[in-house]
Amino acid sequence: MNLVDYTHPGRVPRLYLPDDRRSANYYIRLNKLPPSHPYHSIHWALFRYPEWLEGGSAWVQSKAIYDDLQRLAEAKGVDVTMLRPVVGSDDPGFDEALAQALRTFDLRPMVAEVVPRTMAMPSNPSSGA
Amino acid sequence: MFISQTATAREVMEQFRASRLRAQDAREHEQEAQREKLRDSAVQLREPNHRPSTSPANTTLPTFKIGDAKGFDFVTEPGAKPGLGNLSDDGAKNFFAAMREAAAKPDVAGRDISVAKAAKAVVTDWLAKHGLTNKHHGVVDTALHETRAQVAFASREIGQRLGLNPVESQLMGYSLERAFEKAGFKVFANHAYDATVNVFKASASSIATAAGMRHSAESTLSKSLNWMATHGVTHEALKDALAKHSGKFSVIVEAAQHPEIVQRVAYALTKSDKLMDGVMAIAHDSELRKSVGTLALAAGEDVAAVNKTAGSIAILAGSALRGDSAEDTARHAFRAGMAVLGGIAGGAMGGGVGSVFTGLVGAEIGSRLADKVLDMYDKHMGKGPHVQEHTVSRAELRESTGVVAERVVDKLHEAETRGKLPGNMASREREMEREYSMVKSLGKS
Repeated sequence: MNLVDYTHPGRVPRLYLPDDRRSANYYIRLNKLPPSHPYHSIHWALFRYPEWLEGGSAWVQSKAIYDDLQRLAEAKGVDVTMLRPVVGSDDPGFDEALAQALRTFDLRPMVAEVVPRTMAMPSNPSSGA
Repeated sequence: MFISQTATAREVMEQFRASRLRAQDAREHEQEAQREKLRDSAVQLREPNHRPSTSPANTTLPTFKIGDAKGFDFVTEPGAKPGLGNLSDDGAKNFFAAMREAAAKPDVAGRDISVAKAAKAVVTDWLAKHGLTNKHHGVVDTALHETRAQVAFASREIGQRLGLNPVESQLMGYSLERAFEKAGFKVFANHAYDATVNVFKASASSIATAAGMRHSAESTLSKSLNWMATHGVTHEALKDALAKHSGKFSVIVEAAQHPEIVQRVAYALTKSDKLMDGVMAIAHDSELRKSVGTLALAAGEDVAAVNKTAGSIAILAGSALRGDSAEDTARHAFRAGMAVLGGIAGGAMGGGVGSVFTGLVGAEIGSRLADKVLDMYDKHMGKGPHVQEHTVSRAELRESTGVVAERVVDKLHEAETRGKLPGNMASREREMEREYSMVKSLGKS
């Protein structure tokens, strides 16, 4: 299993992956940082369209995730590109932006979508988690 | 927190402690609610979208015209011939052959395949024009991407050449647009089924606006549907709504606006009883006009392609239908609701009471949209991707659209006598032109 869990611990149910690196910090928007922070910005997005170019926060967070993933890969002694980060915070736009940004690091991320249990696909293996 | 100037140190301390406790309490409640929500949800993993959503075409770059494509007259790609545009004779022959084949197909999937073939013919033609023949498809992809290859076409023009009616040509146009996007082109398309919109002139800002509106419509739609799903509007409420209040199924149309409106509609949907009044009361004229765009977009391949929007609609519709013994009833109700909405939208777009035609067209689109959504539902719920749900028969469609159009006309007449709609087509045209070209893009939602 090469999936690494980077989902938001408060907004996405746990995936029970062997590598659990969940942190709400990966989903903080730049405008939510304290004004003294070097990355603080009054807008969290750079552009409104297209969505994956919203950038700003998503780009910064993707770099943070990439760095962490690289550390993890070093510890495990594998190549970073062998690991697939799973991102998700129940915000489709941001998650997509984050995933697309991770792609620019040559990673193959996956997005975790939160769906009400009653609407989950009947064959969905993770619905029982 | 207010601390009086004369408070003793002890009082200040007390107040601090109390406020901290309150904050902690609020946090705990919030977390509890969140935990509860998480208990009731499941996770599905998906790949991020393959093509990072296509950016709008650029009005200053060379554009490959298919046919005359009136309204896109800034094109700088040389060698456009009247009637053919930039297509070569061979390319045009292949393209129209594939399109004709597509037009004959009764089902969505088959049509899409043939339309993709047509798009392929255009790709080949474009490549030949630029001296790239028999290249690996990776090279082709890169070439299209790096040169920002663009096509422009008008659905109605192509449809007329194939002998299709305006609605059919619009549906084909949407399919074609999606096919081109999949092939790697950026697309300028005019899907107007009505001569009213011939006043449309593509400018950089109008294109960007249209693209932005489409994008924000999609994102608000998914957000609104998520909202509805998580706020108990799902199962029983929606089933009830579909069966009893289908005429007010304006959530999908109204989603173009804001999630707040959708919340309002969803609330009205579950509480109110009257059928058409609700829609007319909630949606003002301008809102309806904007929703026409959304409806049409949804009727295009946005719905047929498996993407977020389609998924949410399908799942939403699905949750209403699942476990329903009278599945057919719900389906009919849903379809009828969409037809009613389409009729309203179409009627409002045409502008006058006399425009039964646009009402009919809208109703037809609505009904087809409903079919597509139900198709999607079937695919999602495991009946298999090969289930081919055939669209409604034409006679059935005529019958139901007739009823809908009548009611729409009634309503519009009522609205007009109350002075809500301008009856004058000319002023309407001007208004639409203004709206298309000068309206600020919708805010980030």
